[in-house]
Amino acid sequence: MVTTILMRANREGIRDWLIQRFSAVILLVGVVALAGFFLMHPGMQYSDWHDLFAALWVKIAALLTFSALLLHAWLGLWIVFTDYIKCGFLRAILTGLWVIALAGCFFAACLILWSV
Amino acid sequence: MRFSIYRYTPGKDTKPYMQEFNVDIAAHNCNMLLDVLLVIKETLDDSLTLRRSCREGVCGSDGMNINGKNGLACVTHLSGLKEPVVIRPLPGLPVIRDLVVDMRQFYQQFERVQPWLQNTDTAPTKERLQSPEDRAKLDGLYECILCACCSTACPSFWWNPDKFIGPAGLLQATRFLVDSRDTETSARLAQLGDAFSVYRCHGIMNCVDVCPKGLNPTQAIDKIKHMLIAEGV
Repeated sequence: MVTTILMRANREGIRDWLIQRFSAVILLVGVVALAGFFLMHPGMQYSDWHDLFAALWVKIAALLTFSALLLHAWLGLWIVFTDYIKCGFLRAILTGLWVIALAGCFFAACLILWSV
Repeated sequence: MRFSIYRYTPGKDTKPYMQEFNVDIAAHNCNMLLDVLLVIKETLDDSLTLRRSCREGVCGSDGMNINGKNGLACVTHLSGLKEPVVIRPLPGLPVIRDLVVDMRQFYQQFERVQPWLQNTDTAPTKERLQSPEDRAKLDGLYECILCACCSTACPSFWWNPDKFIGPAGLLQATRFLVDSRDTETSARLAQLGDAFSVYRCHGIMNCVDVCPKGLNPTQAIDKIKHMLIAEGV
């Protein structure tokens, strides 16, 4: 019982480790899919690119891939911050700025994808 | 043979400096680096301070940074060293004097993994038996001599010595996690799932590169990570 409670309260490392690996797999799939699209359209025009992102499932897949990138980046830089920045105040400010930047990227991606 | 050795006595020296020594290793019958250090201490400068004991790679006392790589002076052959041989204390730990570092942070992390057998079952009349297969799981883990070469070569331990257990401590953690006679596996794992204790290891394998006993802490840490996933999900 005590062990179960401890395990639940003490598993950020496991969670982050899984997020990093799953997001990496999603990124790999996304990159391979995009590379496949480029190979299948050697003389690619703007219209091909537009048609690709006009499909709803592509928008969702692209947003999922981009979200995986943001999560991966969030964890990566959080690790760098906690390694190298020992001043708690400065680390909090930088972490906050990083969250704002990532959130901005997410909303920008949504706007771009749903403007197609 | 030329040697450049880190010198620092807090309270006496304002800052650390490197001191040069020339030693006729043939005249003194020196084969190993520790032989030279002891010759320097006995004949050239008796204030040179270092730890040493068994002089055969068993006690782990004379861990130091040799030409940029951590190792034991007693098992480091002079023939494999480039001149001048640059000798510094183990990196990342506070220097007490010259080549002697304060190992308290290292031992505190070692203590965190509770490196002793825990079994809540009724004690048998004679001994707790173990199959040869279960005993074989401890190979590559129990041989650690706690010289700290691995943990002090690890950047994650340099940046977070108060939170990251370090390769030496985690090797010992694995040694008890996989021991068939230990009944506290779940309780041990429950202490390791946070973002720092184990997961600050990013697998750069400096620990494997420097271990004077040829052990593989990275593999042991991966074992813990997989046990944590299996236990926690």
